Amino acid sequence: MSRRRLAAWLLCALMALAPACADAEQEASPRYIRTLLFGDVYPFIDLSKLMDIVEWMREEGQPYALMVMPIYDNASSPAMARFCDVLRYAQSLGAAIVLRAPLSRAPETEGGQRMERLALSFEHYAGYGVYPLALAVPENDLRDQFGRELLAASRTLLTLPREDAAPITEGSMAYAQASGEHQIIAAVHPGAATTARATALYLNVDAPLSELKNALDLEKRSVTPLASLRALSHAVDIGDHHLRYAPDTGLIYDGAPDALRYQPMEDDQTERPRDDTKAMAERLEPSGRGALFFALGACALLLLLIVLLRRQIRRLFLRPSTHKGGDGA
Amino acid sequence: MSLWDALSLFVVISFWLLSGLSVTLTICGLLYQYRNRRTAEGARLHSPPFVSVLVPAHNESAVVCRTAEALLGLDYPADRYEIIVINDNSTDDTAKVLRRVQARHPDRRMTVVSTDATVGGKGRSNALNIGLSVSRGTVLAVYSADSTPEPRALSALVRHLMADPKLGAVAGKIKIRNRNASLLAKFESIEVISNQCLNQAGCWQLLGLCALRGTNFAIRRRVVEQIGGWDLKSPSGDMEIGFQVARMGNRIKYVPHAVAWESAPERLGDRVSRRAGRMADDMGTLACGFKYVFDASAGRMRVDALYHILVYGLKLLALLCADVLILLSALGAITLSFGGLFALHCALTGGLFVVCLIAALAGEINEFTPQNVVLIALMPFTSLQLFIVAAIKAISSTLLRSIKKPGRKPRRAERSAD
Repeated sequence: MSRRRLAAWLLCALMALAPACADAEQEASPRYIRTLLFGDVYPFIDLSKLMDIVEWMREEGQPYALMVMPIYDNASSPAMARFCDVLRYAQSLGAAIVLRAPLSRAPETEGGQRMERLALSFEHYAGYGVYPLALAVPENDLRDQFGRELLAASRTLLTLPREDAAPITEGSMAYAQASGEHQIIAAVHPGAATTARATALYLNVDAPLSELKNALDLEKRSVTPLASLRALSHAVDIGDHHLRYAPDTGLIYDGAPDALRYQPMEDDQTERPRDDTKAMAERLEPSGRGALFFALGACALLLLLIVLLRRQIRRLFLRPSTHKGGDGA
Repeated sequence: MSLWDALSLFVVISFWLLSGLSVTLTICGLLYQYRNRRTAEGARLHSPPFVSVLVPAHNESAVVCRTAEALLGLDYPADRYEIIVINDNSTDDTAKVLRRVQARHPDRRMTVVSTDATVGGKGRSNALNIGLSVSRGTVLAVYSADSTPEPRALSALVRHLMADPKLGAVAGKIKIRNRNASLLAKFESIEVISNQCLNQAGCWQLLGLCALRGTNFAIRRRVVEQIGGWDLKSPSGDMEIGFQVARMGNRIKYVPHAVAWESAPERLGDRVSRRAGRMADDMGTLACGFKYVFDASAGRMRVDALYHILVYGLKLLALLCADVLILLSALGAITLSFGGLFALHCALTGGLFVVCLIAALAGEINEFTPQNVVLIALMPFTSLQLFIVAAIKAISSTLLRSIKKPGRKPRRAERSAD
């Protein structure tokens, strides 16, 4: 074999091996997953705003998740029904629902009943056809027994952004506790430093839509494309309920499949009389405006009288030329 | 709805009810003062009635001389009034001081009635009844031993009383002499001014009612005699007299031209005791007068009783509940479903309270100052809280008195000669 032929043969062999080498390199390098997480979603937010966000994300065609707050009481209220209607709509369009675990400092969760509370809340949402695929929890809360119970309950856990803005790393406690089966996703605020491979960009639904759009525009320029939580498999076993989700098989809740299709709620749910405390708070809300107008009106009237009286006092008592020797009454 | 939510709603409704009342009364009070200054004071009386000025004094040697001299300096015709000082079982030099004043003015009608522990020492009402028994005026004027009336005070009171036969009594204005001596006295001065603007001028303008405050008032003798004198069960008897005057179909008018000066306690303990004592008397009277609210034959007294019950009862309950709710919320012990609304309404009503007080000061000379405005802004956290303390003390002392020693005298604030 001539040298030229040998060189040509080696080159061909190298070219044939190149894709395999590239694959191997890709396997060795970390895979970064990033998703959008809209947080602080609860029944009493502006539902039209939430609907705008859902429609906007549908137009953008971007995957995202909605982190809903745990609801323990008044789950049958019309506000909850309307809220879950929007969530079901978002779910049918591909949004993933994440349920936030009760906070340790919330007074209603004292006495080690947080898991029971969480199970109750999960049941309420599932009762409305809203299926949380994952749980969200502050990273610190994973330290104790509750954290271990959460890890046992859900395959996918989102750790909430830390208030001290400290970067969440792969070596942090949440990762240390999780087994290889778990999917730990660190939710981070826009611009926050992190070395975690799986992150969720945390956006507050209360923020103006323009601000949310700016955050998404910035995210779209990132080298890491946005991924959907619905592209991963999830499992939740909480209370007496079992949820399994896989991209290919779909959702199975308590052994029964659910197509996650949207069905508008029945009209009678919106017409139901609202006699709960929150409804009363909503009814009382306009009273604040009325009270403010009354206070402003009263202040204006009193101010006018103050001016009149001060002018009278100045005229009668404080001008030497017109002093009438009043008794100061 | 939880108990705390219900309480917060009660507080908000009560605060707005009281604020609405305060704003209305302040506006009426200011209008009355404005109109009162614009109109002429009226012609002098051609035949002034004989007036007996009653001054109950119990261990008042430090201040009684100044009061007696001020009463002797009134511009009311000297032969048409007498001064009767009831030296009520005093153990200090009150009698000696009064004798010296008598010696300085031998030509004036000044009588000192000294009582011992058997006849006297049973409270202000008893002393006034003793004074009434030795007086001969058709009009009775009452001044406390610490009040120094301005020279024109008595003539202004009598002129207004005689001008309207429907009037049973007239009440003058009280000002705080030592208002610049301490912060407490300053607060007291502001409170007295605002109270007079609301409860005296405002009530008179709006409801034709006015409260008697224990000093600087004149009342027809026949009214007192019809009532049967001052009520011995009530140590001060002012509100009781006011009720009875209203019950008889007579009115009590506020006369801001008649000014008397008195001292405010400069120590916190004294102030609380004095206020608590006054409130205990008023509460006792209100408890007795409560039945008249539902009695159609009680006439104007119904409105009077209802107004005072509203002011005392509702104000105390609402303030107490608000304090408890705010404290527990701040400690994180409770969560209010209407927390935001509760805070908003409390802030609005608190703001209105402050504006009303500032407006009340606007009608006074040398009181509408930046320093006073700052002090008023602090009053929801100072005077209103003191009101709660005094009210609780008044209630507890009333209960204790009714259980242990009926007729026990409340502790009196120490007097100083300034």
